[in-house]
Amino acid sequence: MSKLTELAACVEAGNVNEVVGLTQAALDEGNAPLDVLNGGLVEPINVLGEKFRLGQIYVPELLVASKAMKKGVEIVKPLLVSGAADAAGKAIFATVAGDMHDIGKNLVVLLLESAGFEVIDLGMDVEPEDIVEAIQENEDVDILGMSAMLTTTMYAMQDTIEAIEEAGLRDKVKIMIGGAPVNQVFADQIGADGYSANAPLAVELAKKLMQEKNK
Amino acid sequence: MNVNMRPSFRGQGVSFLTREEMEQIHSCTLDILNDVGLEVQHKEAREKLKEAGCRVEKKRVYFPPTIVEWAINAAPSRILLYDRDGNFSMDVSGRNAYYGVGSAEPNIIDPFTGENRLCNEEDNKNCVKVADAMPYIDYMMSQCQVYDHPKTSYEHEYAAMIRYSSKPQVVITADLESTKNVVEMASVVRGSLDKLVQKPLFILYCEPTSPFVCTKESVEKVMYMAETGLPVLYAPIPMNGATGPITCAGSIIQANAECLAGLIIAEVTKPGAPFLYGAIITNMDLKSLQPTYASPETMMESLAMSEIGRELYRLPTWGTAGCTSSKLADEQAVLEGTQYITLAGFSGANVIHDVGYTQFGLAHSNELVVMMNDVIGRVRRLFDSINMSPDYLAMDDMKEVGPKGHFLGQDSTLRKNADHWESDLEDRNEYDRWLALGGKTMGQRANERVKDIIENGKLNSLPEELDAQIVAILDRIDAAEKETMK
Repeated sequence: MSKLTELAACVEAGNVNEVVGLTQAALDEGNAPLDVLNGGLVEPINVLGEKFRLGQIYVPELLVASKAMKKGVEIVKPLLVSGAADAAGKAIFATVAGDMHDIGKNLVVLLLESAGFEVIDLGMDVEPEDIVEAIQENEDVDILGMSAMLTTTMYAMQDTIEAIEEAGLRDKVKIMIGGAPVNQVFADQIGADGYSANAPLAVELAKKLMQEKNK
Repeated sequence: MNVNMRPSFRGQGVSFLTREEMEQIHSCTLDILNDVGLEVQHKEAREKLKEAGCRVEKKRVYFPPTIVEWAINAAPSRILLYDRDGNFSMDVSGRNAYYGVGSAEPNIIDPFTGENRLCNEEDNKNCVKVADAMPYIDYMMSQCQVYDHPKTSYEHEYAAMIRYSSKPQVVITADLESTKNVVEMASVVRGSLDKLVQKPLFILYCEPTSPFVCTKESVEKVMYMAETGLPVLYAPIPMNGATGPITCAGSIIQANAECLAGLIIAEVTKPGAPFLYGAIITNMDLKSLQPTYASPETMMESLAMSEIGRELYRLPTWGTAGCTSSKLADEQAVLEGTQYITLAGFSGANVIHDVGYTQFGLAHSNELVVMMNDVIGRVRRLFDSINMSPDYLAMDDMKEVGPKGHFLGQDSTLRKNADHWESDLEDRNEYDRWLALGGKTMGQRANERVKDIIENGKLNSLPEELDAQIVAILDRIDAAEKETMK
């Protein structure tokens, strides 16, 4: 088995401790850094992502594999020509003001990272102005994701979108929302660009929003 | 349904932990409370806890064992609840099992169209009407989130309960202000706040956020209820594998720590504050990423918590049952709901909620409430157990009838037939008669019952004068809501 194949198998199995050694071995074998990144590290995550989407594996398998991938990426990244390994997109995520329920948001963040997105997670109970500030600070951000679990807090999403409009930043980001009490109707009502009912669908949505943005 | 039957509230025989195992859970919990502690997002609470002897570092509070055990002993071992008319209704203690609906689902499965859609004010009223008509539903709990009133949904949920049902309640509120609004409405009906404290009508539902966070809103509510002398619960909902450890024992220890933190906050605020102990522990399905809500693990973990509360801490306990992860009131819903209701009753949890909770809490099903009402009736009958008093041994009957006779004409058969459980929802007809009646499934009959109650049932309304006062409070709250929504 080539070291590259071995590395891919190792990432897919989530063997975090062996990834560093195998990544180095794959490079030493003469593989180009970009090939190691794509074939040895990203590809197994894509395979797992698809399996997860089909309900064939459990989320921890995907998450532990992602951890393994990141270890390898740390080694390969400095060797890459800049621009060769750009993220699939950059996103800011937050559970909105007043809401302390962020497990759903965390899952979306983890799955997005597994799908190659760079994500800035602002945590929970995040005020509109803090979200505006984060967009201002990150010139290259593509997507804002917001979550709420309560009917009493979901309107903070609307407040946040209004604050973003007031700051003149609405065209900078695509906005996606999620959480138990919200739906597509609510998303349209508050002027969000998309809604997803669960974490795997949120990844699909983020990819779709990236395509729209890059048009 | 046999209304003459003497209702029974106690069962026994279901247990998931031995006494030694409970002690072990307690010991591990003391370690976690002392070493990990919780983040308490409320300044005044942290000050009170520090004064009481807790170690406080920024927002983190570490609870030493002596304070934990002091608080456990400070809380009363029972809570008495009285109905809307002031009559004694629930003795929340020991192994007494009471069942209620719940809780605050955003969607409803429309009984007329079958559609899964957002709840509105009309649903809120209809759900109370249906649950009020169920003889084995002992108390009300917020059912439909009222989408017409996003900021004051909980007040509207409460107003419907108190306007259209006389049953005691478990209440969810958004924050301190909405809690005060609810207390005001209940005080109007009781006559005064003092009378409400003397005869509590409801228990307030509060929850920490797992893992290990006491949010500001939840702490405010606990402290307010404790100060006022009204009962409160603080039920964590860790999801195994996501917001709690994957193992049952691990999540029980975490939930115990989180719940006890709420208890300590209540008792530090006012020693003797009435507190309902318990948790909903439910494993997350790691494929769909949804809480399971009625998995075998969920039942064991959550009922083990009520066991610990009763056996080790001598506290009144919270419970869950009659809920499902199914998308509608189908076979899976009945299977999950029935098993949980039965086990919860026999394990001796006190205030068992969530009957009708469908789609792991995202939708309410009135049909499930109606069918689970039947299950609770059966469980109550099982609580009766075998009557062994002399005339129930039926020695005379057997001697009289002897071989080849029958018992249909015996006087005892006439009299004691009334003991037997009977349902007007179940079908016990022979096949042809069942077919002649329409050949319906239980689900179809439940749906017909729901529609009949909604269309033809009489509302169990408050006297007009009191009702007008509740409506006036609601109007005031709505006006304030409109101001903030501008």
